[in-house]
Amino acid sequence: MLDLAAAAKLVTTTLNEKVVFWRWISSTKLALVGTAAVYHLDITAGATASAVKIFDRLPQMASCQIMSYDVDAGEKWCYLIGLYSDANRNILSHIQLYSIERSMAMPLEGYAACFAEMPVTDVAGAGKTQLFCFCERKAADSTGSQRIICTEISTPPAGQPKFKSQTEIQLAQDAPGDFPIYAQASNKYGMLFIITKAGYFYMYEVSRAALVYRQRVTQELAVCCVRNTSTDGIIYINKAGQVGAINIDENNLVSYVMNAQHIPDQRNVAFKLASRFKLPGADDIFLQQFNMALASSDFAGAARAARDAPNDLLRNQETINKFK
Amino acid sequence: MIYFTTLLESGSKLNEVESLEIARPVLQAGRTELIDQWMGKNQLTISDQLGDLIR
Repeated sequence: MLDLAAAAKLVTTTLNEKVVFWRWISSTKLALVGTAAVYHLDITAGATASAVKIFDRLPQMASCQIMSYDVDAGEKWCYLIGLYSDANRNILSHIQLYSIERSMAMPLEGYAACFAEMPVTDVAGAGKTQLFCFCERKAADSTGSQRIICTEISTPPAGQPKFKSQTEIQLAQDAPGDFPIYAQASNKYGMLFIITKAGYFYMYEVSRAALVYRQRVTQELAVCCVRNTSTDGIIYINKAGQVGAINIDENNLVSYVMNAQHIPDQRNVAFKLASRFKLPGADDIFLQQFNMALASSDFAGAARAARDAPNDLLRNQETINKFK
Repeated sequence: MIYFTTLLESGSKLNEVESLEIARPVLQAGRTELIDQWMGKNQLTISDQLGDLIR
């Protein structure tokens, strides 16, 4: 590892196996996926620092072509994804989810995955929930059905079950046999983005696993997709060399969901989005809720409506006077 | 009061107007320890007017 700016060698390390995949997991840490195990190398740990083994690859990962690896923000969980084809030339995929704290591997079957950290429940004090989201496809299921699954990996508040949402993926008719190649959580808006091999973009609302939007964004394979950290959107490059950006229009997200007939219970979904992510577009509903609660002398309910409304819509002198 | 209780109990931070409104009666009642407590939890928005009140 060389520091080009300083023309100096940062670290030299030797692994006793072939490295088949690598990527940066932070600005100073490199993840190395070998044929047998996964290692992290801290480039600030000294010139002779050795790579730290994180976990062994499960036996079923041996025949896979490694597609992706990531670690959650707290470096407590990691996942490794590898593709393989079965006797019928179906392209299938294994996911190895691994808990560093518990030194435990969980084998899953799915194509793409990501970690997320966002509010998904109304439980008081729950705050942000840490999630693992993945696109499941079980090899044994001959129908080839695929599901989006978002499952909690943090510890829920006392007495609460672990959060989980899931839904069938409705593949586009002009892309049979399509499958996800990239998943990214948009923690700022409570969404999960998927890009498929055929170039379709899917956007799911995480708390309900509800499909919000689907659109083909590229005719060519997206060979590289990354998070746009300033907008929480996606930037991708396709095989033809075109660069595309996908971003959420913050000012129209809630009103779009509110009027989307294809989303079950869409008014409630929109309202929760506005409340949890402090987004504009449902102001009328907050005002209505606030006034109705006041009219029926439900002062606590009115106070909660004022609290949950975005920005300072209802947090003003007028409101305080109404409570006096 | 129920308005402020709901906000404070859920851990929200009061904005400038709200901080002033709650500080007035609390200080009149001589309950400065409540102000300390909320300040400690960063639940009040500090302003010149609030400073004048507390002084």
